[in-house]
Amino acid sequence: MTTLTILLDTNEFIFGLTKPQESSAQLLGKLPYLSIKLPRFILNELHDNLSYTLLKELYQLIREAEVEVIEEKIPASMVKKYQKQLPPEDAIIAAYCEFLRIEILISENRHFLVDFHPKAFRVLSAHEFIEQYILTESN
Amino acid sequence: MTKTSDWIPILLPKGTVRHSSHMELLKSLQNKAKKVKLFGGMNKQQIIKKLHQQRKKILKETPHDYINYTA
Repeated sequence: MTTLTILLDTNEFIFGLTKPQESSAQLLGKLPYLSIKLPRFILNELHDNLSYTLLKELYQLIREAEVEVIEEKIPASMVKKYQKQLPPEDAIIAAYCEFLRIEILISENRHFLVDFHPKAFRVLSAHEFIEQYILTESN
Repeated sequence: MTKTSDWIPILLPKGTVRHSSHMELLKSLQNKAKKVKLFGGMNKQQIIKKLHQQRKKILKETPHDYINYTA
């Protein structure tokens, strides 16, 4: 399995939990084999959307997979740089990726997947990631 | 409003990865998510839009939750 450093957007966790037939669910199943960084604000967004019972198990899931929770905040200048290409709420994610030296951002957000081609990291959907890094390596 | 992040302990020690139990946990989470009808009836784009709006609101009201303005 790949050793690349990966950041999962909030939507991947939500789809992975609510749509078991989707690639995002397959991706969550592979978490123990991947190097995942999870910024605190994504965890906070999951707090805002999951019930207490779901959250408790989510913590167990990410603990077993040794997902690294990132407490640091990003410099405003880095966010501003990405605001030229993306809406502010997406620029945050892009800035985090550069700040944390993420190699792959996995998201289902079309703003990222269609028109955004950053130099610092790659953007893939869960389906694309599985095709390129999981299916290839298991064949 | 009290955020749930304030009252759930954050304990993420390094541990042994047991993939079978990871999959069991994931399935359990998915079953529970179904029961609470998380984003019930919404399609993928509607969920993305909702998450997007939430992030936009937090960014507008409390940007310090995301950004370190002292840097």
